[in-house]
Amino acid sequence: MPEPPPTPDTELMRRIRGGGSEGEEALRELITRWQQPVMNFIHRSLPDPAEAEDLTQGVFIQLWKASARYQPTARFSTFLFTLARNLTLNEIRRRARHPADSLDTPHPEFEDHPLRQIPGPQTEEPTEQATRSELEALIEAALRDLPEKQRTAILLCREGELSYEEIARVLDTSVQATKSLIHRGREVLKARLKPYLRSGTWTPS
Amino acid sequence: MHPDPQIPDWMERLHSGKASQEELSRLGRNPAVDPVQLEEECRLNRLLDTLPPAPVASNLASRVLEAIHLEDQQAQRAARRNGWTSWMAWRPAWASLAIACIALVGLRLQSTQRSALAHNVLIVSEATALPGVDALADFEAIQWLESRPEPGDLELMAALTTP
Repeated sequence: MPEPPPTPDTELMRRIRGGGSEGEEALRELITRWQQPVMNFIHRSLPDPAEAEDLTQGVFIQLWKASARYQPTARFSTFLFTLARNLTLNEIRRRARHPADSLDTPHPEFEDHPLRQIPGPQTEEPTEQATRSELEALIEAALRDLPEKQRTAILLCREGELSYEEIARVLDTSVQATKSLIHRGREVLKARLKPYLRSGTWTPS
Repeated sequence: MHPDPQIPDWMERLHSGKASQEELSRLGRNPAVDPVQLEEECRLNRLLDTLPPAPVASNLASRVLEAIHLEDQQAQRAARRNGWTSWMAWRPAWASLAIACIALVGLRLQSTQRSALAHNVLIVSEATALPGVDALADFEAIQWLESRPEPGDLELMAALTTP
């Protein structure tokens, strides 16, 4: 497959592969560029924000480790979201096997890690905030209840801004199957969120 | 009227939530697109757009780098430990090898000594039989034998003394 022209991401990956302080600086830059889409993708699949963040951290650690075998034959985002999807799937499977475990509990070896710093909530009227929170919870639940492939396809399309072809590559399926996954997923979402879609307004229950 | 060949692209952009207003209105004007469905798709997009970005720690990059450093250190420690434990694991093997070598050398030495002994026994057995012990009791005969020069010696003396 011909190598696509270098992009800022592939250039950063090349520097990461070199290792050392320059590699670390490049990784820092890459994290800054991609942390939000990766976090959004994982958070829409896992309900616990702390677990989602731990997994996001894990994605970038894997990225560092996998930098040596990274080949810029495809867009960087395809590579990154493949890692993110694999880690998320592993975590979902692990949770299915051990439902009581939580990544929120600090591992003894990582106890001295710096605590996560989350920006404070934005100021909003309490009722408005409650309505918004309820709506968000409803949408997030609808997304999480989708079959994994449909959810991943929809999230990669929206959060990762990947094309159908790139999504097909992440999901290891055909473009036609990807279109079908997105279509069916959106139909399920529309059915779940029908009251809002019909009226155009949201009335909290 | 043939469907617009750009419809699949616009649908892809619609699903990604990135379709422009112009693309949406062109989709809406196309008879192949159901306007009710299009409206529902747009409403679903607006709904999905209300989801706020997931909260990300501002120090995520630092935490990632710290975790990488920690893993490196652990890997180095594990490698050192593995080196020591592998040496420890090989210790019985080394000891067995040393014992085998010592045993081999011992056997070789024993074999050499036995060969030498057998050789000596052979030499001794081939030697002329000594006279009986009774002969040794006759001191006069022994003295006579010792004082009696060998005939060869006398001839040699005679030759040496002849000018």
